[in-house]
Amino acid sequence: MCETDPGVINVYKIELRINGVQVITEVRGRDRLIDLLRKVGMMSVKEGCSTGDCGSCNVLVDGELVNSCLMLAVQARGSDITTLEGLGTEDKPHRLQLAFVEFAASQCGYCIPGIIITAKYLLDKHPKPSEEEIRRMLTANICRCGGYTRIVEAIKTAMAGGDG
Amino acid sequence: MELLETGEKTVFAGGTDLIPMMKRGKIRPRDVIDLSGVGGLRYIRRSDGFFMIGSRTTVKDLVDTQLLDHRYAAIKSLGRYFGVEPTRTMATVGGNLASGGERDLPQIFEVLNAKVKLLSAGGERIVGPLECRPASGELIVEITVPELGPRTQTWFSKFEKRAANGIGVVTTAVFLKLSIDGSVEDVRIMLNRVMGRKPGRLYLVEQSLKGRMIDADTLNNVATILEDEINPASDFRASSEFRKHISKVLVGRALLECVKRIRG
Repeated sequence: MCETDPGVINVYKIELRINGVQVITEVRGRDRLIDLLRKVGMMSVKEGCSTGDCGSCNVLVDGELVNSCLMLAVQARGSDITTLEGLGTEDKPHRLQLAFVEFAASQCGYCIPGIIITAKYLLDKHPKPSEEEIRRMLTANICRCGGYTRIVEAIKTAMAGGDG
Repeated sequence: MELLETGEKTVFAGGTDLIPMMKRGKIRPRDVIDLSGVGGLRYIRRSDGFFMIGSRTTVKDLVDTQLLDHRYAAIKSLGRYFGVEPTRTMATVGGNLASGGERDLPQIFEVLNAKVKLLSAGGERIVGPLECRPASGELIVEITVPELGPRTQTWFSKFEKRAANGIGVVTTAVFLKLSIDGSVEDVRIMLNRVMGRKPGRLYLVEQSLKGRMIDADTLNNVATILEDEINPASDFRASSEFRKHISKVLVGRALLECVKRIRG
C-alpha cells in the first residue's frame, strides 16, 4: 500500500478486530492507529507525546505492546487490537481495573489506560512478576501525578489473583 | 523497487524514529512508503556459518530469538537498553541502521563484523554497518552476521541519565576472543563518540590488547590510551570530560565481563 499520487491523500478500506469486534472502516494513509481507535469510539486511548515516549497511547496489537501514536492505521489491518474498553466494563471490571480503584492508583487518570494495557501485557507474559520486573516494564509509561507507588501495589495485588 | 525510484521517497518501517523526527520537524516527507505490506523481509536464519537477518526484523525478534546464544550478549542486552518494550516491538533492524549516527545497532553489528545489503532497481550493494545510510532509491534488505566461534564473547552497555529509555550518553560494544592460553587473540571495541559526535572503533586500544592477558595492568593501560584516543563532543547531557571518564569505565567493565564469560 502506498501513495502512488504525490500530494494526494489516499483512503484505504481496512478490516481489523477491535476488542473482539470485527470492524471495517476507511482510513487515510496518514492516519495512525490512535486516530482510528478514537474515531471508532475507543476514547481510553490517549495522545500524550505523539512520539512514543509516554505510553498513554499503549494498546495491544495481536498481543504485542504497541504505541498506537506511531503505528499507521493501515499497518493494523487484519490484526486483533485490545484497548482498555476490551479488558472490562463497569459491570464486569477486569481485576486490574478493580485493583487500581481499590488502591486509588489513578489521580488525573490520563496515563492510566496505557498503564493498565502495559500491566495486562506483562501479566500475559509473566504471571508472577517481581516488583523489579513490574517497574522495568512500566518504564514504557510516564505518570506525573503520583506514579508509581500505588500503581505498582495495584498491579502486584492483581497479579496475585487468578487467570485472565 | 520501482516505487522507490521515482522522486524522494521516505520509507516507513517501525515508525519509532521516523514519526518523532517528523513531529520535531527534522524530516518533512512528501511521499511515504509503508513497508508493512512487503513480505519476506522479516526473518532470522542460520546457514553455512552465518546468520541472515531480514531488515524488517524487529529489535524484539532479535532479543527473543533462540538462535543467538549467550555469546551474543551484546544483542540480547537490547532487551534492557533499547528504548522500552513497545519501542522494541516496533523498531526494525533496518530502520536503526539506516538512521545510523550514535544508535545502538550500528555499533553492535560493527563489532560482530556484520555486513549490510542494500537493494535498488540498479542492483545490490554490500557495506559495513557504520556506512549504510541508503541513497535515494535504495532499501536495506538484509544483515549478515558471521557466527561467533569458540572462546568468544560480545558485550554492550549504555550509560543513560534515566532508569531506562534515555539517550545513550556513552554506549560501548565489545567483541573479544581469547586464545587457549587466555591472552587476547582478537578484539573489537566501539564507542558512540570517539571524535566529536561520531561513533568509531578504538583501534589503538585494540592494538594494545592483542596478545596480552586482561588484568589490572592492561586495563590501566587501556584507560591511558583511551584518554588520548577519544575526544567526545560535549553537549547538554554531558561534558566531554565526563563522557571520557564513563567511556573508560564502560570499556573496562565490558572487557572484564567478556573474559568472565569466556572462562565460564
